[in-house]
Amino acid sequence: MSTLLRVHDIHKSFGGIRALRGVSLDVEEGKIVGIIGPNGSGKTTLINIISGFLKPDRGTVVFQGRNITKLPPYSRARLGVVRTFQIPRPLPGLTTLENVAIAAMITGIDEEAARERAVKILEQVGLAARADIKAGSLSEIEKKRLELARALALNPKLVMLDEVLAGARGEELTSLLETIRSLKERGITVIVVEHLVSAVSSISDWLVVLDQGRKIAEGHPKEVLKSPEVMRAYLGET
Amino acid sequence: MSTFARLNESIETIIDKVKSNLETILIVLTIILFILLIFRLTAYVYHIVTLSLMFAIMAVAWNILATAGPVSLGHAAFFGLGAYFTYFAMAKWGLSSYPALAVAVLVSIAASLLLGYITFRFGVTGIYFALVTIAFAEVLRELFISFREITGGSLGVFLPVTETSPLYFIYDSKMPYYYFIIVAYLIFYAVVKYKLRRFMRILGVIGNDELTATSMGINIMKYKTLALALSSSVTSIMGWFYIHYFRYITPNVAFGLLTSTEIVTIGLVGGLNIVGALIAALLLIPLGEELRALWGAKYAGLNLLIYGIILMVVVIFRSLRARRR
Repeated sequence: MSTLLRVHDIHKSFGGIRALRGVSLDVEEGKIVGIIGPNGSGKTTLINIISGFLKPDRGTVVFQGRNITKLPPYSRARLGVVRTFQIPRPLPGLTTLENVAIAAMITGIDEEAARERAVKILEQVGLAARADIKAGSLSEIEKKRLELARALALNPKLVMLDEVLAGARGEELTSLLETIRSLKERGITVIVVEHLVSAVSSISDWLVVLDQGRKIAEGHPKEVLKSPEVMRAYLGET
Repeated sequence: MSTFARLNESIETIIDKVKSNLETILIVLTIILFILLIFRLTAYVYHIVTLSLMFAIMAVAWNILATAGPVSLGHAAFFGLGAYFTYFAMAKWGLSSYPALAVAVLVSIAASLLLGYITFRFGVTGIYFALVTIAFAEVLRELFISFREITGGSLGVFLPVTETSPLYFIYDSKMPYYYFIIVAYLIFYAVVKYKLRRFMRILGVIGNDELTATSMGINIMKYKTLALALSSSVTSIMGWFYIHYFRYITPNVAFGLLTSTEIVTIGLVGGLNIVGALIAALLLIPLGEELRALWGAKYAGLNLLIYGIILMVVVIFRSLRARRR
């Protein structure tokens, strides 16, 4: 297994707040990596830095052996580093299918092929029945699925899912987890950023815990969750 | 149901009907335009239709940029540059019409790159972009008034007519211009509809949500700049057309706020579709001309007032429609 993504010693401050203080992270190709941590631990900031929406104050991001720290976000997306947003951002006036088809078109295929691919992807994420509905009128959970579908349409090598599981329960949650697992089967590396610990640890091959901008633990999910530092971060000082 | 709601609904039904039958309407309109020839109507009718088509083309060009988000309130800048540089190329540098067209387009692309650089680069968007474009056109207007030796000042310039020939795109009759603008319109329609389909969709994504566009791998700067360059070149071609047609132009017409306003009004009323712009232009330009002809002497600027009212109504109607979605 080779390292797909190597994040090294990332620092990022907003004004006086130090969101990330020297976070390093290796992501193996074909794995699902979960990043968890309490609110404000720097999870989304890290996603923003890997996807290029934020520039780090210090540190490097290396993707497939190439230093992409200075690349603009759209070039990273083209390379296959694709992310979703915590708050879904569909194009509300277009149908669900069109939303995905446009993303597919951007990869360079023609409109007809893009529609065909969009149909397949919507089936994968369980939105096929909602294909012709205006994306603006989807439910919140459906919008999250649409975010995922759109990310897939871009032919990603690495998908970063920012809290796609939030708000999902029961069957919804199971099927979303199933979808994420199926990405792995197709050779796509996944980073799942989540607040919800149990769900993430059930699908992750590797779990990283952030707290106050630092990585406090990483390893196999079961072991990580047992570590005293993680317990402290989540449950507070004991 | 209130009267307003009912009116609103019936307007929407009409709009939906129009939208689902665009091609048919375009064909019918084109046929009508050619049938007009049979009746040998007064020159005035052909003149009005020519003007309407010219503005319809500029309105669509304006909308190409607006699709990506930036709203230009100074599009006359490119129209004026097109007209004046055609004049410079022909009268001062001795070129014929078609090299002059190339000059006009190149100058306006250069100007649009400058405008794009000072705005998009520094994240000037929304109302601020609109203000910059007004300033842009106004500065050009002032410059062309001030540098009298080169530009002829506020009195404007005449295109020197040496001979009537296709080489100079100069004809005794106005009819060749009528044919030309109809054909130009149809070509433009086909290009936007079929050749620029993908481009327009990408611009649409940018106009909707820049963050989403970026996350999809779209280079926003590049596409906005391309949209501006395309929009300004088409507008400058109409400037080239205008000065051949009228053989005379002044800075106030070339760069004036009225010209920009007419483009924006037709663009907004017609919406981003080429047939819509044609319908809007065929309604608004004759209205403006009639108002100017009938009341212009007594109540100068009455057509502007009407444009203003129409703009307000359309904007209110649009935002109501958008909010309901």
